[in-house]
Order: sequence, then C-alpha cells, then structure tokens
Amino acid sequence: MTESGRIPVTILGGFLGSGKTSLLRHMLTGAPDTAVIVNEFGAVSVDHKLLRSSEARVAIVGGGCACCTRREDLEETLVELLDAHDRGTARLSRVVIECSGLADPAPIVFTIAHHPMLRHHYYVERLIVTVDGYNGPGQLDAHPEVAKQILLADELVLTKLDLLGDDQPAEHLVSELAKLNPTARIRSALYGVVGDEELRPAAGAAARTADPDTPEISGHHTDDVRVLSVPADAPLDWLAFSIWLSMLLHARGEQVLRVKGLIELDDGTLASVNGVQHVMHMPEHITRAAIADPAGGIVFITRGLDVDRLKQSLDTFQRLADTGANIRPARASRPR
Amino acid sequence: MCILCYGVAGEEHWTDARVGNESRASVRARRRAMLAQIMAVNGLGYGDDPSGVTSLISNRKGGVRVAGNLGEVWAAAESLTGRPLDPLDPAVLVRLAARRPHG
Repeated sequence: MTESGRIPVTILGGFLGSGKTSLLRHMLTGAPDTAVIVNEFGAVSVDHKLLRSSEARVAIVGGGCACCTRREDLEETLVELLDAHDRGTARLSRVVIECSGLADPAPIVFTIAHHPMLRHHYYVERLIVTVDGYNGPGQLDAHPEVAKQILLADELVLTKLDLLGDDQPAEHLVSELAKLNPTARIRSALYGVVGDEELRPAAGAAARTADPDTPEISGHHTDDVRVLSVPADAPLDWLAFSIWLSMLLHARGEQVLRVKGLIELDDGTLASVNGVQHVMHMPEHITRAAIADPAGGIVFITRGLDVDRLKQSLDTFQRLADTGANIRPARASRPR
Repeated sequence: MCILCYGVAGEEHWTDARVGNESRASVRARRRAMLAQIMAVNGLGYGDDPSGVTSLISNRKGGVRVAGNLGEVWAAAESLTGRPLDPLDPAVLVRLAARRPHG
C-alpha cells in the first residue's frame, strides 16, 4: 500500500514467449499477498493462490475511442479481490495484471483510473513490458500490438540477451527502444531476475538531450510516431500547462500516446506528469531531494502529430499565462 | 450532491489537483482569464460562478452549457461548436498570440 492507502497495480505486457511468465514467477517469489489476474488459466503457468482468470469483455464509453474502453471483466475481478481483502479471507498488497501480447493496455489503465469505486482503492503503479532481445526486432515489426505496448511502457525488460552472439550486440535494440519510448527505463533480465543496471540514461537525462525535431523511428508500425522532448530550461506555469494539456487530450488524445515527465514550478519544486492517451494520473508534488534525477523535462510520444506545432502551441499557451498575471484575485472573484 | 445548492459533484479531474503554492483565489482568477480568451478565439463566451466551481460556456446563438471540471468544459464547448477546440489549430494559435498583450 502507498501513503494514499491504495493498492498498487502492475500491468505486465509483452509478446508470447518474451519471458513474461519467468518475470511473473520471480515477482511472486515471497509475495503471497500479490494477486495475479491473467487472461486465461493455462496461458501463464504459475501456481499461486491469488490467481484469477479474466477474459477480456469490454464496454465502449465516451465516443468509441479505443483507449476509453472499460474492461468489465477486470472491474468484476478487482471488486472480488477487494471484497476478499475486506472480509479478511485473502490479504492483498499488490495486483499484477498479465496483459497478453495482443492486448492494448490503455483500457486497463482507463478502467482502474475511471471506475467510481476502484479508483479509490487501486492505482496503476507501472506498466512493465518484456521484450525478447533475440526475436524482439522481428516481433516489433510484425505485431503492432507489441509496438503499442512498448510505446506506453514505464519499464522495458529485455530478455534472452544471453542468446545473442558476439556479432549481435544488444546496444542497437536498446537504442531503438529508447528512441521509441524515451520515458521508459530499460533493464535486462536473466531467467526472470531483473538486473539493477539501467541500459540507457534515465528519462530526465534523455529528455534534456533529445533533439526536439526527433527521430522518425523506422519500422512498419511506428512510421508516424514522433517524440517531443521539452527540456526544463525554465519553470512552466502549471495552470496554463494543465489547461493546454487537458484541451489537447480532449481534441487529440488518441494521437498523444504517452505524456511523462517532471515539470519545474515557479516555487522551485517539481510536479510529476504521467498519462496514457486520454487517461492522466493525478499530478504529484515531488521535492528534488526525493528523486535520483531531479532535472525537470517532459516527453510526449505522439502518433501522426506535428511536434513542431505541438511545441509552438505549448509556448503560445504559456505566454497566455502572462495575461492573467496582473489580475487581482479579490476583485476578480467578487460577485456581481 | 451539495446539500446547500443541490449541485451534483462531478468526477475529480486531474487538473483539479492543487499544484504549487499559488492561492486558490489567484488560480481561479487566472483560470477564468485564460479560459475566456481561449473560448473567445473559438467564438464562444466563458464565465463562472464566484467560487469557480461551475463554468458557463455560451455561443452567439444563445446556446449555453454548464460544466464543472476542465474535462467537462471542453466537452461542453464541443457540443456548442460541433467540433473539439483544437490547441494545434494554426488559426487559433495566431489569434491567441494576437490577443496576448491586452488579454
């Protein structure tokens, strides 16, 4: 549990055979209070008392947008687990949702963030995606679902690197993944045990150094993916930023795959921003002392958007904040 | 439901989170000023109650929508214009930049 009293949910994605089950087994070692929700029994061979099966059953809400889709099956399973926890029949400290290689993780995030009851009891802590270091490049090109999981991930775990020969260095794949999703941590795992070492610079450092004109990622299913990294060279006006981003997500949420980073505020503190398509997590205040890389900066992973215009729009709305700077709140809020 | 005004409380929106040390009164006043300008360049009017909880979005044909959080504000504006207000629309950006010096 966190300080807010909610139960963390880890979403575990990755293509079949990419080492998901090994990682899951390792996560469950010595963690009897962790519940696991899988798409179907047998697909993931783990023996665990809090194992639940949940076959995708979706309800479209809000205009038919693919990410704003409720997973009714998941709602029922999470409610059932919570009931068991409250009755004292099964203690629950964490939930892992196995997201098959063909599933879109966005509806899972949406379901937990928007359910009127569940969002007060659970929060999505992170999306981990396993990538087969040996077969990954081919899978990425052949399966758009894998590409989307990688684009949305908080953490990428490279597996099977031990199968690579000396003439197949992992650096190229790591570099491709980092270009595709600069916000994700990349680590490697051997037989489900994830190493401590990160395989690329932290997200903040990447955002600082990335060229705003970035990188068209090559690949059949990622041709129109563009990344905008906004370095923290000056504090942002939070109010103007939140108005702008909420307006952007309403109009273009399906094209803004991921928003993640730290915004430097006028008072010198930082605010974390984390969103998947239309779904934004509540921002959190963070002190510089609390994090390893205290540099601000925010990354937008987009599909089919002109990132130059995105930056121009952000700047225009930031300048708009100046118009309200001289308003005296007492007079402005007086009833007429 | 508010027991004083019978207003129905909407879902908490991420933009409602208190971030930074700016006073609530200042946030409300600046929010009102910025939203009024954004609506104006899209042919809409904007107002809110003194507490800043409820927003009114209107068009020039007399259409009015009531909204709570910012998510509802954009949905209300879309229902009046028939399209989402797009912050990437070049014409909107030009008009916003032109309004900037005088608010």
